[in-house]
Amino acid sequence: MSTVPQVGRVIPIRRPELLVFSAIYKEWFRTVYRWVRALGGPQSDAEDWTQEVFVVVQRRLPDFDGQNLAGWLYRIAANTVSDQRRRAWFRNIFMRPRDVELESFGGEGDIVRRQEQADFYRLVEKMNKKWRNTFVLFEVMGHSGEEIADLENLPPATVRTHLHRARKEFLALLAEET
Amino acid sequence: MERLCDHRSDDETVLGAAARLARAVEIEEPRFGLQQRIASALAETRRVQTGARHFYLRPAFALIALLSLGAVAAAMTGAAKVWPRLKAAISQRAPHSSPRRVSSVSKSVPTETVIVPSPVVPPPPAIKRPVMAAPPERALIALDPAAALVAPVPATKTTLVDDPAFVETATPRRTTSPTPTPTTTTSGGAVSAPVVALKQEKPEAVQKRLAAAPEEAIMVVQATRALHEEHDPKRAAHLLENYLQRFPDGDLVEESLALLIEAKSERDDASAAKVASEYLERFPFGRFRQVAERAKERFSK
Repeated sequence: MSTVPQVGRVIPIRRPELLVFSAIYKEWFRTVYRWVRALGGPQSDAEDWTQEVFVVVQRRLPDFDGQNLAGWLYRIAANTVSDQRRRAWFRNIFMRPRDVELESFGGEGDIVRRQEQADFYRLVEKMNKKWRNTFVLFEVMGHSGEEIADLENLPPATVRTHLHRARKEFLALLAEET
Repeated sequence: MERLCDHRSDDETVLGAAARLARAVEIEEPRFGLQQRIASALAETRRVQTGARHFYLRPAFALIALLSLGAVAAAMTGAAKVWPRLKAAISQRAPHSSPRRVSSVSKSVPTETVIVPSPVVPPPPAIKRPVMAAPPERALIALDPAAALVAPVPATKTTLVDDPAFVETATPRRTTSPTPTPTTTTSGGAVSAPVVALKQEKPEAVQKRLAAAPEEAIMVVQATRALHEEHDPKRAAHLLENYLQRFPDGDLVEESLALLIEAKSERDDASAAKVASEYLERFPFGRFRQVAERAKERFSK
């Protein structure tokens, strides 16, 4: 199975009222879960957040215009992750942030890898919000520029510009730390 | 553009470090059974939401049903109470034409009224009547101007009493006058007004209606009280003359002239003949024609 099975096939649905939630859920669950995990980072509660995404999908499906299903789902996922991270930020004011769950890792290699994941997302957190998600979709999810343009409803040239600036910023942030 | 994870240099440069970090980030697949577990949770959420919507609709439907039942019950009860009275009122008003102002003042109070026509005054002739003469319905209602205001047009039950014996028993209920008699010439020559006998009239109700009456009616009522209850014909004559001066074409001119004739007759005032002449001139076929003729005959000698 491909990593991004439906993304990039923006075909308007002629009769969106015939869309069935169960079919959307079955086809898009894995992709949405991966979006949530990629955008939220290793400390995200991806399972609960994915459920939140599909609750919203279930509620708003009658209003969907059928133009871009992948982009519609992605926007819901991105907004859900943003909301949950904002709530997590408020929670972290009073509670200790959740650490990487080292006890579940198998060996020393896993520990190093998890630490590098945490470092990666710590730098991503510091990036400009304008191209942060674009950078994650390209670097982590492996979407092409055209696919990101469809998902974020942006021109491909803008996506390329965002990717260029995002990488420049990421390297600058990494250079500062080292 | 090449992805960072595809950059294969493991050097110590910033780009190499970034590539290492990017390669470390791998998005794992969802756990086994997670998709089914979330699907079950979503189905439960949908069921709860639907049930919750019905839960809030239930009291609304119950409230609507209760209100409807209450409205139907109130309508049935109200109709059962109101319909007989409405039917009686319609049957009473059907033969009458447009009401005059005097009767409209008092028609709203549903009290039982006994109207006693004068045994002396014959019914008016059926020939053509002048414009100023009272219409037939007014003759029935406003035999006495004061009573016309105090006693309402009967909304439910009206009893015409022709039996003189009943008049003698019914009349003292209405007035404290020691000798309330029907229209007739007394032994001393004084002329008394026709009498309307009232039943079960409460003073506060009378005061309430008087407060709502027009000024001209109040003046006539005061004059009537002064003449019949206070036995002060002088004050009554003064009030009636004031009324006739202020409202020369008022609705109660005929009654005022008749009362003025009575007041002046009680005082043996010869000017009663002048007032009687005026009455006969304005109301040649008026209800108090015989009273005026007797007064004119008495004081012209």
